[in-house]
Amino acid sequence: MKTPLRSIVVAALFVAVLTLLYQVAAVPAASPIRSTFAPGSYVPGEVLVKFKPTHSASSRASAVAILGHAVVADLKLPGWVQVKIDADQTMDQALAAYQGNPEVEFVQPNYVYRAAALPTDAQFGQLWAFRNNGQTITTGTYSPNFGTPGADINTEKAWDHLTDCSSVVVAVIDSGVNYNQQDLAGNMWDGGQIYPNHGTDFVSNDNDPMDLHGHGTHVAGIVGAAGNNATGTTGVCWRASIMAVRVLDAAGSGTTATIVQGINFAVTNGAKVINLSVEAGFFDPVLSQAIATAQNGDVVVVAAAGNSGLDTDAIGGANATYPCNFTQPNLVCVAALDQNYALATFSNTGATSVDVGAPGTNILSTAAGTEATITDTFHNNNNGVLNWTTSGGGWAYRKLTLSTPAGPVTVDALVNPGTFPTGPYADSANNRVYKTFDLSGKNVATLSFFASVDVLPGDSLNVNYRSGGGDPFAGGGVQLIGGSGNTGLSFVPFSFDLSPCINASCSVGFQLLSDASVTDLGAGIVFFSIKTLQLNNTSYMIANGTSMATPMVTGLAAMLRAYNPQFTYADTVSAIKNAGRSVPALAGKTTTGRAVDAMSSLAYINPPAGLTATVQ
Amino acid sequence: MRRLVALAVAAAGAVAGSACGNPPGNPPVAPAGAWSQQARVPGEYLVTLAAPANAKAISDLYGRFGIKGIKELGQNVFLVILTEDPGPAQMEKLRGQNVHIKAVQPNYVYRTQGSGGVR
Repeated sequence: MKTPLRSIVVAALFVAVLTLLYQVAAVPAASPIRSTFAPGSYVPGEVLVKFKPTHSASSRASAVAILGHAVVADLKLPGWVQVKIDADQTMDQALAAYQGNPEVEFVQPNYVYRAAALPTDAQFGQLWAFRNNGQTITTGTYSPNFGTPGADINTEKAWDHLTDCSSVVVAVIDSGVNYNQQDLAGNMWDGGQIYPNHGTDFVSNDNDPMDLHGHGTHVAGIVGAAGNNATGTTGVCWRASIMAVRVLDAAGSGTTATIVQGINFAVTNGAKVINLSVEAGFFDPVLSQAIATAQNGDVVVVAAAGNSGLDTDAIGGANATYPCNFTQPNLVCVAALDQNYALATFSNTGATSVDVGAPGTNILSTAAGTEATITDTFHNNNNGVLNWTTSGGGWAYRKLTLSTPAGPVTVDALVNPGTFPTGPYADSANNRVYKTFDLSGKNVATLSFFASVDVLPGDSLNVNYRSGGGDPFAGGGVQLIGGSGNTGLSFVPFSFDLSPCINASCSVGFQLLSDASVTDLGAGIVFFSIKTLQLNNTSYMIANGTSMATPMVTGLAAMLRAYNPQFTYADTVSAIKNAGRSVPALAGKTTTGRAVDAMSSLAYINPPAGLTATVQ
Repeated sequence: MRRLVALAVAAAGAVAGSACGNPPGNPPVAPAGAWSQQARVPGEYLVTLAAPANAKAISDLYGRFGIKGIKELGQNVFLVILTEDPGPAQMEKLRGQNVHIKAVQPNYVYRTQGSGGVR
């Protein structure tokens, strides 16, 4: 006698077996699952048909002949025959002819298989995300920099089926793309005469989405750097159609307005997959609406989980990070894994808001040019003496110990007053501090620092630069930010485009002005740096971040939609989420507990819904 | 001399941390001051109109702050750039006075970068 428990177990096993069955590529005769197949993935004019075992060889031949087809060979598997179809029929029509026949159990194209071959790209051996053999990545910056063989997204097998995603337009909504980069130039979207530069720019409001930051070009190369061309790297897709949509400026910052315009542009101009490697910590209804609009346009949006090392579901939503904490079904949120498929230390997670994991450390990809970073610790040789030029006193060098998600960190700081953060700063002050840097020969320069500010209204903390050097507050200087404010004892990041100051002598300075009334705690500056970019078309670079994990999934989405042109956004998202491989580091920290797997996703077909099983 | 102070590095994506996790319809209110407003662009707001209203409704309601520019972004959403920034709270308060204005929110700032070279 059966028990309820046994019924449940048996039913569960039945569903599991059914799911496995539906992961094979054959199409059940009565199921109109897939109507179009990617060109090149099958032998034109041939199908493989499985008749019910009761059919003899002669009756199979007759059934085939009635359709105007001919049996080419008996496959020596029960019921299976290789069939030559009518020359005028499409593959869809031929499959449909058999799918309606109750005597046919399965019908499928005669798929083409090729010997597994690695792409010839010169630096393919560094691309652990595609082929992890435990290698150490040259110039890798993330530790550990060694891998676990097999911990990758399994593109090698997928590439046996499809490498050309160019039928699917992928919008990289980011800092732009260096569309002249040697591994990207041939894989950019054809925008015709209206968009001759392969996209558009909502920062400068023109048609030139050239990348002046570097982020977008790196992302684009992960999606679709040209593969098997003996040059540089390859993307998930060897051939692609990348739409460059610039919404982030040279400092890597954008706004709701630029991003929303970018999404609307992508949807309107035919993109079917959007890569959105940006993050912010506030609910943004207009951005949410734009993602919903993309959903209505059948567009998949792949977004980065964020790099704050937070559980974005925790503290009652206080850690929520957007767009990942939006709930649209066309949105896939991606966490970053390291070379051993451990969670990257910087990656955000969320059991209800982050969906899958993908490689995001020591990722080599295309670069907009040669990047360099000038850092400054405000003193020489750890001697504790401020080495910037000062005027009016107030500013000093000191070490501060900050709390971070990874624990306390001691850093070099520029502070005013010298006792910061216990204050107060001086009344009636005009305290200046500045330093001159050589930025000659660069195309782009970006000033970045973290600041903790507690300056009362009526007083002002100003940041200026001056082309030619010297005191940037003495005339001829340009203000980047100025005024009062309170960051609440937190150091928050600030970035500014310093490109107008590119020459051999560019001075950058801080000024604290105060009136005669009461004062507050003052200001501290840490992690001061100037990043420069010299554009060229031959550079590659290593980067870490969920921004790098995200385009792995974007490339896979493009691959899926190229392989299955009838796939909706829902089919694509389902294949990405449900066909991944279980990864312990993602269990309980993502909605699926899985890392993406390209081959499994290609083979994945949604199991039918609403099935019931009766245990006899 | 080194000294431990109660300072924290804010998450790169969560500038102006007080803005985190606000529910829909309750835009965060940033403290006054240039250094406190990095989560939004000062003086810039996104206004969603109730169809079939036109941009005149924006001028009617928010013209008192001086309108430097209005740009349509699609889906009845307009970027409004004001000469004087009244702050998100005041913008939201005024919204209730005009049925043609469906919603108003700051023009938030998004970034790509974390710290330590993480993107």
